[in-house]
Amino acid sequence: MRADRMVLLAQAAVVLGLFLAWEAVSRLGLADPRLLPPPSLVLPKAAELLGDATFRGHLWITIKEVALAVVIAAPLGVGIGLALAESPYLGRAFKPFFHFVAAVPKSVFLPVFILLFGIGFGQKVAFGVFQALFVLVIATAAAVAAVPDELVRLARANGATRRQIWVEIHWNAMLPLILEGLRLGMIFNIAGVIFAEMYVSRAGLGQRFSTWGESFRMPELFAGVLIAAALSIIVNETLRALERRAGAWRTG
Amino acid sequence: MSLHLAEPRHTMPAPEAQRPEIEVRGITHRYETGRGQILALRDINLSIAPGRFVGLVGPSGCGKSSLLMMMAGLVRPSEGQVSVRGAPVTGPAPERIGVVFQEASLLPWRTALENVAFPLKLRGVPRAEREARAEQLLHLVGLKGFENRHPHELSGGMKQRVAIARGFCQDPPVLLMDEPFAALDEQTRMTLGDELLRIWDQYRKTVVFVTHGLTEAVYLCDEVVVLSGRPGEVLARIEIDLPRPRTWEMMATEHFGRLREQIWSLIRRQS
Amino acid sequence: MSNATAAAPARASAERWRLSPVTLRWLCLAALVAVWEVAPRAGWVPQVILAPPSAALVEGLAEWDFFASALAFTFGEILASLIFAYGLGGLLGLVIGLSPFGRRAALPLVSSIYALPLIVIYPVMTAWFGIGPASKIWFASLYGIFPVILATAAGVQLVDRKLITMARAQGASFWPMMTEVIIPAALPAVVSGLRVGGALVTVGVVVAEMLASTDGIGFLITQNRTMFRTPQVYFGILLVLVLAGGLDTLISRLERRASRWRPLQDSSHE
Repeated sequence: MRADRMVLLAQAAVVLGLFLAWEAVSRLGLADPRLLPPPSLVLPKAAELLGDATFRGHLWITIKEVALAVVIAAPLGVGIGLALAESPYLGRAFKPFFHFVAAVPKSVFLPVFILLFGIGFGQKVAFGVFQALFVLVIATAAAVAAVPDELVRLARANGATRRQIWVEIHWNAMLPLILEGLRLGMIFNIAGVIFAEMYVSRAGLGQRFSTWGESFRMPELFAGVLIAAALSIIVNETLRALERRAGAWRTG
Repeated sequence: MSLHLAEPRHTMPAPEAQRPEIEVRGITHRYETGRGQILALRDINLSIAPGRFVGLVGPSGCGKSSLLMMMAGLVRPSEGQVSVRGAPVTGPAPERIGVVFQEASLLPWRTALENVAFPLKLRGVPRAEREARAEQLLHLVGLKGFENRHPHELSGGMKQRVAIARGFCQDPPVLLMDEPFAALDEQTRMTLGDELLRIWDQYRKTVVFVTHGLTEAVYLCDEVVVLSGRPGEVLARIEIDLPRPRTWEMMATEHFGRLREQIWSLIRRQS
Repeated sequence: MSNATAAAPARASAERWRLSPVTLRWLCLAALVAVWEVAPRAGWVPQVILAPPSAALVEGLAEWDFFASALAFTFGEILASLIFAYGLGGLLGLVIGLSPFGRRAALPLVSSIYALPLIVIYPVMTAWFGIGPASKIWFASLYGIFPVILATAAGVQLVDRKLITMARAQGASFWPMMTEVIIPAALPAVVSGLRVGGALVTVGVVVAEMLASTDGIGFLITQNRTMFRTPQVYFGILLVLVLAGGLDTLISRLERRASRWRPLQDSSHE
């Protein structure tokens, strides 16, 4: 218990220390404050941005793109993963393909998505789906493989129905691994959507970042980066907490 | 340090006549756990003469392995001191003390030969020299032809032979063995015991041998030290006056059985 | 995998056709490539959206000099970024992994940062270092460093404690302990971190070039896209994939060498 608190304290100290160093470097003129605005300037700027209706509009577009992408990618990815894992034939035929695509750097395909879907909302969503899908497929297939065979045999020996076996064994054994895939997929999804917005877009967080960077509006840029970071940390930690809860039995 | 194999000593030194090789004085050990402090060992005093093969037995959790780790300088006791060859042990002392662990603890990325030569490598002995020496010891433990195998290609018994060869390659006067055969099956354990005695007979190192096996203890040792349950204290030191070399027929004798029974009754009362 | 209950319809039909799964996979891929080739040629899809693979190769190779010099430029940036990401990442991972407190305090922070969409700081990099190679190298190094740190720390942490005790009993001091025990034991994990890190560095450089640059393969892809020279866009993407694949093959060969002593791969050199 005491050790845990020490660790938390140390982590808080590291984060606080980073912010203080940032402030000091900027204030003492070690770095040009025009290029590295101090947090005392950036944090109020972030609050100001969140109060600004135009910025909230951009933020909302990004959130919608990310959300729609995951709503499409999650059932699709889990479905394909289940099909690959449950049918040994399909698995042998197509699992290597999915593993291959998952390992390929997908960001370079962005120009293809622009050619196919234009530069609007749909293209961002499609690119988000593309980024998130493959890791979800692989995580789901791995989750099915991780279901302990002896438990399935035991349940069958006890006369459990197929439905019961799924509810009692598969669901519990698979959930943490699928959630982990979902978390990784969300990371790729968010990064992909923001990257797509930065590349060519008329709206969204990424589009703001690019514009601010090009016009050297550093306080806005840093504030926006902090907001984007905070949002992805919230998403990541929420999914991680779910994952831990679902997998509490794993470490006992 | 001499690189030649120590001359085999065939005369058994009289235990009383010499300065003790290992001297354990007033060792008490406590450690902290989540549920408070635990007294593991209380006031252990032992002196072991050079060239003796001494067993250390006791109920599970009596701290016999901890005591061995203190003799090796790997764990610092709360109170008391261990001396080896007259000098206190304050940390690992590979020139005086060798350790053979329960798991063979071989470096998986090194061959059997390189593992045996490892102590000499740490001392900066040139490659040709240390490998010649290691080869000799590998042959002695019956692993001729396995020099270039990696540990995962060896059986459990073979790995432990490599570990024993490494202990002898290090060539310290004192060899501490922490349940070296515990992970092996009965038959391998018996064979390895015989091999160990054969090699020990050539080099006559002072051996402290921690074990769970009472038959093994009686069969191998000159003397068996029985520790009590937690906190561990010395209950008795039982002289095993069976002649050497030991043979497996001795196990069937009444005397062997009596010695074994004597140790068992001491331990049984503890648990 | 004896799963009698999951007899999917696909398997039943496949048994009728007697197709092996591997054949099916290659047939599907071949069909995909064929459709990709035929669809734009037949006019089902505008060629400006989807260039046939043959056209991508022909047009790309016709401008090979351009692509080759861009590729060399990109490769230089990747190399520089790899040196930073691997060197610094390995060192930090070693330090974090060796100290129990560092592990518990720093690792969660590092893995949180790893989960951030790091691409957002690229505009900061261009504002600071311009749109030349410096901003790419800074960004790609940062992008690739986290898996190296995490893998190294995990590798060091997972070193068998018994081996450390054994080496300590042999009187091993700091450096022999490092070179004989900790580094070889951690190496397989570290190399797999290098693999992930290498892929991220490659993507990082190319993506950065796509966003703002004056040279390099990413720049060429973007430039061709804005000019609607679709075959060249596809050819550029293909080159990036070959580059990433080549790096990955190189590192996985290293990985096999690093873990030659391990049981699974060992049968190959007997």
